[in-house]
Amino acid sequence: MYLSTPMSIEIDDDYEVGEEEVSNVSGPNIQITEPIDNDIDEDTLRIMVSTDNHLGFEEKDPIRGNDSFAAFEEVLSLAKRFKVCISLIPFIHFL
Amino acid sequence: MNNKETIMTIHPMARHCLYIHSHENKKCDMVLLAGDLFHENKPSRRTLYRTMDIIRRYCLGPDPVQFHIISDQKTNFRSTIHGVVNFEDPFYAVDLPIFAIHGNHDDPVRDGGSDVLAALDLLAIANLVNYIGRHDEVDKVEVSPVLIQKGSTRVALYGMGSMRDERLNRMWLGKKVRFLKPEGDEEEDGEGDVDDDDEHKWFKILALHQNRDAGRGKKNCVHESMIPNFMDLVVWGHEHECRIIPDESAMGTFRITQPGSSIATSLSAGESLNKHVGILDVRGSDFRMLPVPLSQVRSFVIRDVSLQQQKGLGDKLDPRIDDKITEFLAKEVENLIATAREQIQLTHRDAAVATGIDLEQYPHSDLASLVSQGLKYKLEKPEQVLIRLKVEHSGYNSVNNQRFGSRFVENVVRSIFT
Repeated sequence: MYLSTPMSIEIDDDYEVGEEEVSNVSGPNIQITEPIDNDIDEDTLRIMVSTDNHLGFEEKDPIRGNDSFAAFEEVLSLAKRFKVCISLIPFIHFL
Repeated sequence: MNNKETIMTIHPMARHCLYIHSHENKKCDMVLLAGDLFHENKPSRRTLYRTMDIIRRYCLGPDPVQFHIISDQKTNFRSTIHGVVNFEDPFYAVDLPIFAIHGNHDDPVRDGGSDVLAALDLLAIANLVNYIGRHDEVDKVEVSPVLIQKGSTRVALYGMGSMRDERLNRMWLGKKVRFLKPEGDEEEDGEGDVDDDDEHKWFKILALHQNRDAGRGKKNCVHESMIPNFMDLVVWGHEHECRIIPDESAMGTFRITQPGSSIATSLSAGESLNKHVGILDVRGSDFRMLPVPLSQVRSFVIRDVSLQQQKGLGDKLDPRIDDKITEFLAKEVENLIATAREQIQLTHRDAAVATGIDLEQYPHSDLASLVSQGLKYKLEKPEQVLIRLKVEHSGYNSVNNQRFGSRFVENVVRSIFT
């Protein structure tokens, strides 16, 4: 078992999603549904969400020229080959 | 379920976020891009070529797409030949459809003659993306959702391409912005009864690309209060800082996810945070979001120092003070470079864990090549990092930027002194 390094989201002090978010999750107006076993079933639509890929940014830079394309290719490759099942992340239900 | 290992990640939703790796392929049904796919309004031939190359390799394939579009496709996808979503074109085999709106960088413009075209129109006519959210009327916007059905889950995807904030505000105030609701949607406008029957409920996603929050002048951004309350999730483009874990809206009942850019285009603090994309699962009226760290992002750190607070510099009138400052700053830069390089390791490790690479199998492998396996485009020389050192030098002479920067040419792509 690995304990991965923290993601940037919680390193950033200005971004106060931490405590708040968790309390929201169990807050009064939403409810967390039970995790399900069959992870991505025929009723689950899975969407890769990305934005501001800025393809072509600094494309003439000898070192950074590839950067925008590398990130975008990684995004699509994650969408196509994503191999992680996330069944233990519960769905959030709006009441 | 065929679990290989369980990995726990620490983040704000830590107790909910367990990565379980299995051998099954969990590919996404679709990709949603919330604007500024291209940096330039007229992308160069090379950029277009590379973009089409990437999309072709990942989005064309033999697998059937598992959902249907049940809205009027001619309204949704105007720039295709047949007026259908790309995976329903009989002459193409698309297995990972992309839905994209334009941003402020790649918005549609008149390109000689009367045709108004965006770079995305070129990709759309080649069936590589489904370009949505283009609204050409000057004085009103009517957003007609793409209606997606997968099993019993029904998603209404509203796309609203970027437009000048002032114009949008004007239209919004004049009630000229309308979001059409799916036929048979039970919920009433405003308060209304909440329909508990999932069968008849649409999960409504709004993708937009505008300035967020205040601080830019009242008419210079989209306020959350302007977004209709019947939305469930807003995917906010344009803001580059990654705030991908959905926030509850301060005003409305919807949630907002801000994926942020996949590349830093300015050396600002928000861009120095790790970049993530999100895997969004929608089932009935429920959803969940898993942030996935990107590895192909050039490491970037930022730091502020004030010369006055550095006791070690000694007397300001010291004839050798300039050399001392230079030495001090050089040390700071070295530290920043070291930090940025450590960050590469952490990011790569995160990315490897998130994508199910078993680190134990590759104890001595170079993480950088592991995470970029299979990619045609990779970061060139990732060890060359971006750093920004902001120096408050009041009371001291400033250092010659270029001469100072040339000391680090081998290590850093760019550094800025202010």
